[in-house]
Amino acid sequence: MSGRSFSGLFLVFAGITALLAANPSSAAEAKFNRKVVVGDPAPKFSRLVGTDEKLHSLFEYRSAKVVVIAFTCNHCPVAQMYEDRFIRFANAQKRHDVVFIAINCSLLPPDSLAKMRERATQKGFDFPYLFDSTQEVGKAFGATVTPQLFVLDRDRKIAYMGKFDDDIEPEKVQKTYVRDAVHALLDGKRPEPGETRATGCGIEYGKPQ
Amino acid sequence: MSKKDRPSPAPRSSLLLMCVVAVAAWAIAGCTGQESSATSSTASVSAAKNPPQASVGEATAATPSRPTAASETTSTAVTVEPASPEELKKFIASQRGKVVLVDFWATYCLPCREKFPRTLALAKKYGDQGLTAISMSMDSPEPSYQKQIREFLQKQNSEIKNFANRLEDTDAAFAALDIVGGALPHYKIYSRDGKVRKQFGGDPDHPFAEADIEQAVVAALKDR
Repeated sequence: MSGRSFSGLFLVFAGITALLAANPSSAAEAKFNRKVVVGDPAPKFSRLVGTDEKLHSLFEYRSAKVVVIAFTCNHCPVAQMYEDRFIRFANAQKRHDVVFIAINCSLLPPDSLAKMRERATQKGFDFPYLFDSTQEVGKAFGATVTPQLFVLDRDRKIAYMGKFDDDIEPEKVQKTYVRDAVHALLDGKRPEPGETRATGCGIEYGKPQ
Repeated sequence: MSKKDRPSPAPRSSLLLMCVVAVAAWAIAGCTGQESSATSSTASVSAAKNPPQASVGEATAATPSRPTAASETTSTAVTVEPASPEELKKFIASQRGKVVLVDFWATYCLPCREKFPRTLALAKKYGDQGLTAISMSMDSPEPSYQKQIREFLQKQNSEIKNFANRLEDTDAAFAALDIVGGALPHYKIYSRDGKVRKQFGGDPDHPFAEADIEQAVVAALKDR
């Protein structure tokens, strides 16, 4: 093998190493989600009807510095335990140009659009609560439980995904994963951890027709 | 393409370059495709506790189907055994020669509680054909949740073998038991040789119906 060949081989190895070092998350953080990894462009959703009876798309929030998507629903007790925290968080983050969006992809009767409207009104949700009636958005994100959170950076790449925090009971929370991820992004840093294991009520997906 | 169009590397090393890229691509794909195994990748997650029944009950005014605290009938045959993931696996291994159906549930999971009777029905229907159906609650081991587990199981007259997670770190329990997607309910069917034959839950691309579980149990029982 000639010297030029070895040089070429060395350059290839160096290039690959540099690439991995610059983007470790793409290779290192696919721990729990089977569909997406940290660093992936977020699946784009469009024309999801909200409890405000309007259609919403991810593009609509293009001016936000950070977008937080919460897959949640009405019926799950775990999701219900987080509603007040979502409300406080969403309101607090608005001044930072951070948008909080809740998406329900459950088709169970308690999670119908009409029931979603009731819930949003009853609880005073001041954020979009959208209905993923085809469940395609949930599937695209690899959402398997409620609640399950995705934090998107300015370029709408997934920067964090998993739990909102580390305890269902608010008074026992010690780690605020989503809040910390948002603050990291606003500070120009990479959230750490990039992914946690979301646990909660399994989302029941229907069989394809 | 002539050599002068390709300043480097030399043409003979293009094959080497392709091999290197292929190996690198395989290595990267191997990292991202890793399943969360029983013992890896849990250091970064912290424990997720369960909602107290009372506060969950208060929050579920719209869902009146939750079981009440006091059971109307108490079966003395209903037992609950605290178990770590390893202890559960040990029990499953002890059932070699039988088909094992594990119903992973939690008190905070409404669909789990609604579907639990189905597991009991399968136990009754196929028990004499070699099916061992068991339940494993993934709740926190704190006493208040253990009480709720016992009350629910007694109300269900769940006379199958019932286990309850005893790990404080419930995330570690989920990981060790490979509860796909962290989603409950989750079901695993073990064939007579003790290996996982089928599992249901936590995979949006593979939704399942109730009949699928029975179908899988029947298929496993037939497979000798």
